[in-house]
Amino acid sequence: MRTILRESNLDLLSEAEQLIAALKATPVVPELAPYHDHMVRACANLHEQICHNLWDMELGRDDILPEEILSETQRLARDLRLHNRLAGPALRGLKSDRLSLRVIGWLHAVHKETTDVPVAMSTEEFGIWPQPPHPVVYFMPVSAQYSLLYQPLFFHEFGHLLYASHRPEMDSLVQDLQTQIAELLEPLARRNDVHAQAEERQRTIIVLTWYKWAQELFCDAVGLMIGGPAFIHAFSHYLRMSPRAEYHCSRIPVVGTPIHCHFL
Amino acid sequence: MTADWLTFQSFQRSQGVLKAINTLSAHLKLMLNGVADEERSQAVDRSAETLQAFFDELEAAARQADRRESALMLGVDPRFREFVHDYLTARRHHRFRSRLFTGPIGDIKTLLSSNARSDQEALVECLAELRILVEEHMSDDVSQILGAI
Repeated sequence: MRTILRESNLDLLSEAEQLIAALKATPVVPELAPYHDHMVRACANLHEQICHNLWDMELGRDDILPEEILSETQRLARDLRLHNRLAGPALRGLKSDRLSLRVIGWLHAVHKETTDVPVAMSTEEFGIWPQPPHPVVYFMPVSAQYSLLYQPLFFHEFGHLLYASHRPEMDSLVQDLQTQIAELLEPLARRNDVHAQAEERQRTIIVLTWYKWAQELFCDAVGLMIGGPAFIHAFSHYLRMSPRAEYHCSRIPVVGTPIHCHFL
Repeated sequence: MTADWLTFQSFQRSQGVLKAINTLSAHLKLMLNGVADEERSQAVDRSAETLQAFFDELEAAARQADRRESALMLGVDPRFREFVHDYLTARRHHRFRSRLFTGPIGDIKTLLSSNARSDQEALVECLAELRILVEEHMSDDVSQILGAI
């Protein structure tokens, strides 16, 4: 086990070095510079943590710390995989990202909570990975990056970052909303049978679902406030060819469904 | 629009908690075995703060679950709610033996700040069992964020 752990850490170390070298060798567009610099520092930090894990093994501490060294190795392996994903936008540096990065850069610059958060763009379905103070990645399909039409959808995604930046207050507001919804759904009289239990489960699902929905509605409101008609236009284009399945929610698994039905 | 934001936040939180568990647990074990561990001291302070904040959230959500019917935790994100549910289930089914799973949650916050040897030994046990629960919980997040072969 000791040999396997040591080899695994050496492999991680080598991969982290390769990632740092690749990042340093990549030309950077100005809009990506803060994100790029952050990624180089983050990878160097990861490298240092792997060295620390190896250091514990070299000192023979693995007899005292078997679970810690194993768990750390696994955690660092996951972190390396995440850093590989996060490095993607900085390594590929497409010119088509620049328009979106400027729009996002403007959004971040005018809010004090987000001014210093490094940002990048990646090419997947519209979305965001918001976890301040970590760098933020916005997602947009490649074909949408070449026009202005869908840029306002970033305003919605930016709402998720604002929510995350004010999480305790926002969660407290959502808690109040959920409490009110729970009270509204409360029946005037309660039976003590199987049907009553089933109805209670349904009420619970509805109330819990509102955590996600409240955040999505907040983000819609942020998008509308920033983008106005441009946001509505982008949203209607985004949704107009969505099939029936996007708007249909079966009653039970509603907690895990994507958020589309509230746009109706 | 995807709901990846929730998964990503959950993934990052679990990674942060695991890092804190491993750092603090390693430090305590070395100290208990008479090994000076000065190089980790700053990281140990940060880890204790991370865990303190995590236990505050866990305690608040678990208190809600105790108070309300049907474990209706409000104002709690769905992934953390699932973790709290896993934690409470582990407590109910006596899956683990440490004080985190047998005593009041508030106790572990006392252990975090204690210098007594018996408390530090108890804390190491709590952290080892918490690590198992967090690693199990994050498996879904890992496959969604990092993919699987």
